[in-house]
Amino acid sequence: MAYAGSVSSKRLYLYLAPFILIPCFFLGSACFFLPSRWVAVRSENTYLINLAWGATLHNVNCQIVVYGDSTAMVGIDPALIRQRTGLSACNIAEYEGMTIFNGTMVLDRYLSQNQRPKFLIFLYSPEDFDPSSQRQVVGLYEAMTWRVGQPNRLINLATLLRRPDEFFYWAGLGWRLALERIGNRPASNDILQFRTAHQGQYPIDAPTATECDTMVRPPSVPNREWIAGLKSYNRVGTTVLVDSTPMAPCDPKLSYFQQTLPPLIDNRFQTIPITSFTTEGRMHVNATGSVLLSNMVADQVLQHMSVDATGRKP
Amino acid sequence: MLFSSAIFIFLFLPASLIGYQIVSRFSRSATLAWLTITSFFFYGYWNPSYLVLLAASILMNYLFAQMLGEGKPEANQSRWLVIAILANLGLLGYYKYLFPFLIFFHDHGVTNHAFANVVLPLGISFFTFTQIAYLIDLRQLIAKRQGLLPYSVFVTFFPHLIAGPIIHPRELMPQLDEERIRGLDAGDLALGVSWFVMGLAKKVLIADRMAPLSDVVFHNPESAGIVTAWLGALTYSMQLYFDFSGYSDMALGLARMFSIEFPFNFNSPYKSQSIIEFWTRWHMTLSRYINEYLYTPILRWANGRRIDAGKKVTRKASATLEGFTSMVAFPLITTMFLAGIWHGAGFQFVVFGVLHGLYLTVNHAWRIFTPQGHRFHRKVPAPFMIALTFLGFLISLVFFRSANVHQAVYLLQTMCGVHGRGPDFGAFPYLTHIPPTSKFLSHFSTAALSLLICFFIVWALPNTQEILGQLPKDEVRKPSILPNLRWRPTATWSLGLTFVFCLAILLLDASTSFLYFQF
Repeated sequence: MAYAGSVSSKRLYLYLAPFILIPCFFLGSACFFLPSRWVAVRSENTYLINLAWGATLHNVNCQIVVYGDSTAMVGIDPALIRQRTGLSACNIAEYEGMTIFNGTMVLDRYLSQNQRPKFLIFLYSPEDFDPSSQRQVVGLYEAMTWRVGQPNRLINLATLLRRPDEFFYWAGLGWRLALERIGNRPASNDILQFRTAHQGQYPIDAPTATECDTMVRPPSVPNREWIAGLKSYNRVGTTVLVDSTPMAPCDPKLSYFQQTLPPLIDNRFQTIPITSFTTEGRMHVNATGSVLLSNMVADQVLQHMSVDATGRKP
Repeated sequence: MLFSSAIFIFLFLPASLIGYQIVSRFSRSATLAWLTITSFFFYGYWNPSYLVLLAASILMNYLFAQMLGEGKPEANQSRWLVIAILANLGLLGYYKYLFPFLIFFHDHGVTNHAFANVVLPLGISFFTFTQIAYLIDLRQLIAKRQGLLPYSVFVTFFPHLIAGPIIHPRELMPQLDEERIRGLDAGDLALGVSWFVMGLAKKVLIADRMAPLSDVVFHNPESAGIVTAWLGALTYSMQLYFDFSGYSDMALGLARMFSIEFPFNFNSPYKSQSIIEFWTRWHMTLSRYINEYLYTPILRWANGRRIDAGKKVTRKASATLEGFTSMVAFPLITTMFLAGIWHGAGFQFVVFGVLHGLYLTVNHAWRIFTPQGHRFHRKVPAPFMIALTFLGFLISLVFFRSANVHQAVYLLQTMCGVHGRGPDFGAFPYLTHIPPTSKFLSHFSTAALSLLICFFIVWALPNTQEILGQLPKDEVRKPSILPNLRWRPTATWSLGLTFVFCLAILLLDASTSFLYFQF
């Protein structure tokens, strides 16, 4: 017994109190401080500043809405689709973390604030048809930050605490980043309006890939129930398309997804040249790839529009 | 579950302490059951399927224990002990060595069948060693047979389950008596929490921050120049020190929160003036275990052979070349060879072990052939001996950390300048792999400064148990520049350690597994 007898219990409990109270305050205050706009605009994180862009849109009433993971967010150019189809288009895709953590909440929020689109296109990287396949690596911090900041904070917090390890790491990481950048000036207007300026597209400037070494996809099996859930957005007047983003011909997982995905998706499973991708590791396309990807979606929409006009299947 | 994980710190530990306080009001059995349940949960959180293995191992050894100890037929005891030890080693061999060896044979064309490696159950070495020690102590009538519940707590108590300290039954069992486990004690809680926070800081704020540089250097030794190779090796020496020292502090602190005292496991090993002293300060309970259950039997066997051959086994006989070889060198090198293999099924671990066997042999030769008071002793200053001991350990660490012997030798050659000066530190291409939380390691000046700070902490400051006043009174403290730095449950210490705790929380997401978990 270390100090029994020489130090009163009251003093020992007072000694222990800060070890409990300060970290509790630290974690609790994270729920209010970290999702604040004040932190976001000083974060040097353009994505965080423009987080859940689709949920901020009111009465824009896009006729084509693209929702999906970061391959869609980076690759789909709404201006090109509009030019090709004559329909207004919005890219409200988010990093996959948003889907993993919040499902389609951003899309639901968009749909509740706007007229239903003529075409709702879900566009995901092949492995993301299993939304749990890469839980740790794809914008989970931002997804949790957004969720905590939503109305009904206590309910959201309870949801977060279902995976307490992730919540604690979120709070620790968030405070660390916030404290590191507390002295920063707020981001410029260009950054604040980054997604608005690109109609939702989030182009990434990274070197062009020349080989498939950087294409590391986690093991995943397409989740049929998840895909069926996406297709359930089908309503009269809205055509729902569940698409996969193309792969490079040298991608090691190409043959696997060529076998498993086609029966589950609405687009033709395609490949595009490796030089259409960037090297930053997440199979995002560059400007060349963005044109190919956007044209692919536009072609698909045009085919469906011709069906509507002629009654023939595309 | 890691001690340095948020879920352990914020959920598991508070829940287990509160539950302990509640159930301790009922009975000893309830308290022991609670400790067993929480420890199983702690273990199963990593991989529930291995709970069966842990439970089976405990049950098997519990049943073996019924055949040993007081009141059991003497004639059968040795047979049962051998069977029990073989069963335990068989289990360890299956999970730790069989598949690495089969894969090795496959890679070298000995077999055609390709084997997949099995996942090594966490802490299997430690709970196996703990139980073997219990059985041997029972056989030697040092320990008493225990009921299943206290025995389960002895094996699984979560502060030592995964990576030690390796505990003797005589150290833990008396502490599980009715009188000792009567709920939380505020004094022990304050001390335990402080100890834990100090360990957490070592792990999260130092070891994990230093790790990325050693990782990139040891993964890419062929790209490192002489400066980078040295920095990588020194960084690893500090990473391992603070990782294991931090783990040991956390383990001792956690046990103390439950008013249970563990033996020290780490006592400023880098202040050692010889490699013999080093092994009495580094992973102390493993060294003790190896000494009692490996070295001593080998020495007895070697001495027995000498006696059978009509040779003397006196101190004087060990001062002859032939006597030294058979009574000192052979047992030491064999023991350390086996200790090296324990660390893993790789030839680099064999080299690590044999190297330490040789170090110890040379050290004993120096001790035996230049007795106390010899003129050489006065001529070698303590800092030189400390530096020499550290250098010897550093060389062995290169083998310990490298993926194979070839890479270790290459890195050592680079450190010796065999491959020329090589590219500057700034030109090392893998510095870009260092994460933002360790960005200071990307520049030579800040990397060198961080190493200097680590050396300052290691060599100039008192260690945790000295600060906490936990060293036995007869233990001689190593010199430090703050000999009077002593923890007290005061507001200053509380706020200071809480600040350190908060800093560690900020970096928990960037924390990694403990290095010794892999063994």
